Amino acid sequence: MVSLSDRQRFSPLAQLFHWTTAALIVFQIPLAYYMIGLPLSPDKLASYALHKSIGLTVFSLTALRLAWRWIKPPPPRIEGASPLQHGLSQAVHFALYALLFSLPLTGWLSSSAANFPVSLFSLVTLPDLVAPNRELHDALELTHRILAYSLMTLIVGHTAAACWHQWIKRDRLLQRMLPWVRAERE
Amino acid sequence: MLLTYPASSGAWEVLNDASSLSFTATQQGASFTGRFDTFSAEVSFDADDPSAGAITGIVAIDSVDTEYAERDDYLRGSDWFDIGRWPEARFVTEEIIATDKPGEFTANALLTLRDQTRPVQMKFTFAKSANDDTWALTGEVALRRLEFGVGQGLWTNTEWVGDAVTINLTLVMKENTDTPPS
Repeated sequence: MVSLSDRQRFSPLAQLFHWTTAALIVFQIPLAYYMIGLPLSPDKLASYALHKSIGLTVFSLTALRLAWRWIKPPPPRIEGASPLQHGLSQAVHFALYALLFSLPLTGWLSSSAANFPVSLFSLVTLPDLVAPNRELHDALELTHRILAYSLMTLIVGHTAAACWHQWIKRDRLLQRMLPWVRAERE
Repeated sequence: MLLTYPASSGAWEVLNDASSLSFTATQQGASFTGRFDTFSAEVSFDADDPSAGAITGIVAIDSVDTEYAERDDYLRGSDWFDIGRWPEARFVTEEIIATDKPGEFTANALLTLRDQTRPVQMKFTFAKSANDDTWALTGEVALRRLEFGVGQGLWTNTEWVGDAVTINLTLVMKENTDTPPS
């Protein structure tokens, strides 16, 4: 298979952002189910603390990632995509970024509304965003949950689309985001 | 009584609605505040003769409120306050001493929480409201929850819930004029 040139691929830093975020999310989702199921215990508090710390990390990485995307824009779009496919792809990517911000934010808000602190790996305690409030907490928790289901749905779609490009369409799209592909000399 | 100073009878009526009892504890190293909504207090206190005074209080532990129902239920359970066995906490002063600062006092008291009765110290101020004829007794007690067995089993580890707890008490009172003159 012919390799893509560096200009056609995402920069190493953009790839690092993508795969680090992917790994954190893949850890974060089962952690969420695990911690919800635990009875109130030190383990539960520790699991929530880890979930919050990872969420804050994702939030920060996403902010840096968008800044980097602005400094070094992504490679040009691949040829052969219909306007509908392109539009769908743009929409999904926009929604993924929006969720990587809104999920940590609603989690943080929900913790504040429940009178639980949020810290980054017990190193820095973050301020409470809102005063404790039961109704607000319930609404925020529901929002967080709906956003999480949305993220899971989009991850499935995002992964399925990448597989489709890789094995059905065979257009080397995935190579743009894979670090181990040796670049072809230009 | 031959002499009548302001508040010299020393008997006070505590206005429950205006009074509050809260606590500040730490969770993951960050402080959070809760309160007990139901408590009663009896105060007999004359700022000019503090050593003759006494403050007693009874707290209905069931009324704990940390703004999160699941945590409140858990605090009522056997690992924490165990309200089925010990529904009340009691506070009784043994000695009240004036400090060097006017209006500030120290009470040495016994606090009963769960099955533990231990000496605690409450520093408090006693001052008349600027707005009306009520007085406020504002006190603070620092204690260690584990000395009272609050937090059993895994919760004796203080990594996630700290040992130190501060209790803040505000009693708003007015002079008890119902007391028949002696």
